[in-house]
Amino acid sequence: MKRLALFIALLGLALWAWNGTTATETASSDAQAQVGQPAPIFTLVDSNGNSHSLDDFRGQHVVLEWLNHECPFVRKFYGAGEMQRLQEYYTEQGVVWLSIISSREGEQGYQTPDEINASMEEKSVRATAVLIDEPGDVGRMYNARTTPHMFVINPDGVLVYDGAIDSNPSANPADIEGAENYVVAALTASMAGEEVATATTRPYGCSVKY
Amino acid sequence: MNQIISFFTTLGLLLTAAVLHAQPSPGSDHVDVTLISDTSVISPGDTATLGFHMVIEEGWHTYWKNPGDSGIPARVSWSGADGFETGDILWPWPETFQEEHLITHGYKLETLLIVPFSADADLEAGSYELTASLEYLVCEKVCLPAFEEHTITVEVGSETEYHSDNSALVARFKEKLPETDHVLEPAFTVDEGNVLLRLTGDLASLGDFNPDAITFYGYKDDMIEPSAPQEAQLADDALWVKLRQSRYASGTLSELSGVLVIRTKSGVRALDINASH
Repeated sequence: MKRLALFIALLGLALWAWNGTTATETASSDAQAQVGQPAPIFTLVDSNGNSHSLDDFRGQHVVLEWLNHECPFVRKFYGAGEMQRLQEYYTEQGVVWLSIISSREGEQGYQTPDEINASMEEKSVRATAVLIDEPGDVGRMYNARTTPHMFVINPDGVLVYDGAIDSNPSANPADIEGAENYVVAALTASMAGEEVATATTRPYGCSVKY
Repeated sequence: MNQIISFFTTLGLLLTAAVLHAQPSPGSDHVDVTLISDTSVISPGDTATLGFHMVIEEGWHTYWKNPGDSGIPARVSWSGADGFETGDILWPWPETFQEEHLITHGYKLETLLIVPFSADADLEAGSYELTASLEYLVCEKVCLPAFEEHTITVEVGSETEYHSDNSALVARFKEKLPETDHVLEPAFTVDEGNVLLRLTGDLASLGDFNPDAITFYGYKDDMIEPSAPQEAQLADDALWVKLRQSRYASGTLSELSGVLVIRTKSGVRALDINASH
């Protein structure tokens, strides 16, 4: 017992000693997306030149999907038609689906507006809009790490999901079936007025090419 | 004339079909994988080692069991393995990679993913073909998934015989598996997301090392934040390592497990750490 007390005291001492020497990594600016907090407001232009502000969609659920069509993890979902199926199903339910490209010009996944529209047509994309986030400010604001990286915002503008598209981190389209889709789970719960059970997960995919 | 066109069309179709047929499953051009065994003959009831030997093109890397901020670890599923037991992959300690804004854990140039296997005691002598479906991701600036099949013929006989080159290869990478028999006692506390790992015991057994050359890798991706700076120091007869709890941890960490990689003057020590609180 004495040794335990000594140990705790030493730990406390060490923590105290360390406090002065390291900058806290917890410090984050107000504009950083955090589950349970109001989603940071942004305005971006889509591939047709139309401007969209997150503010415009208050009262609706909004899905943010980080996109890079050359990334194998994105191809997993678009190649199988799964992403389009989700986009179609949820936009029909009144959900706003915004796909965001944060790839820097010259990097993998960067597309001109015409190229984006061509991809949308070729792949039968059913997103509300594909937004161009060059130079990546909105991606950084949301700490978008990978493609895909998914966010769900509720009608009150609160971020209720931040993370992976599903529970099976794999590039294999055969793994879509059998995985738990976290976006579906979050939307289902939030649309029913329930709390999202799994609100944060580790996203998987290609790094966003800022 | 029509016949000639028709002939060439047919030839073209045949060639296309042949090319399509000859195309292997989409493996990697950047990693050469060979499935090896440290035995040339295995006796029923014995245990031996299989391994996926990965020779990785310079500049590219594959991933450890906890890949860090992005990436995925290799996965394997076996077929034709009736009569054999194959274990989970044993992972040599990883290195740290900076991928743009992310920190990941993995291997460059060469690694061996080690798979323990044993032949059932009642297995009859003979040749058996084991096939592994291996999925992994290899990244440079961009990432490419690989889906490969690797087959190995296992000879079952009355006495186990070791394959000398492959045994040496396995031994070289078993050296890189986390040591579970070290004498250090781990404990940890969490304060506002700062995780303080403390190791006590015979620190001298580690030899000479520089605390700045220490890295802890959590076995699971929801324990430690890969991109947070780590600090280690020796004080009060203990080695202290300051880590940051993962943003994906659910609640306060109650269990900490991973490998502590210490670069000493006489080589790298990789300690298996398991602590709960």
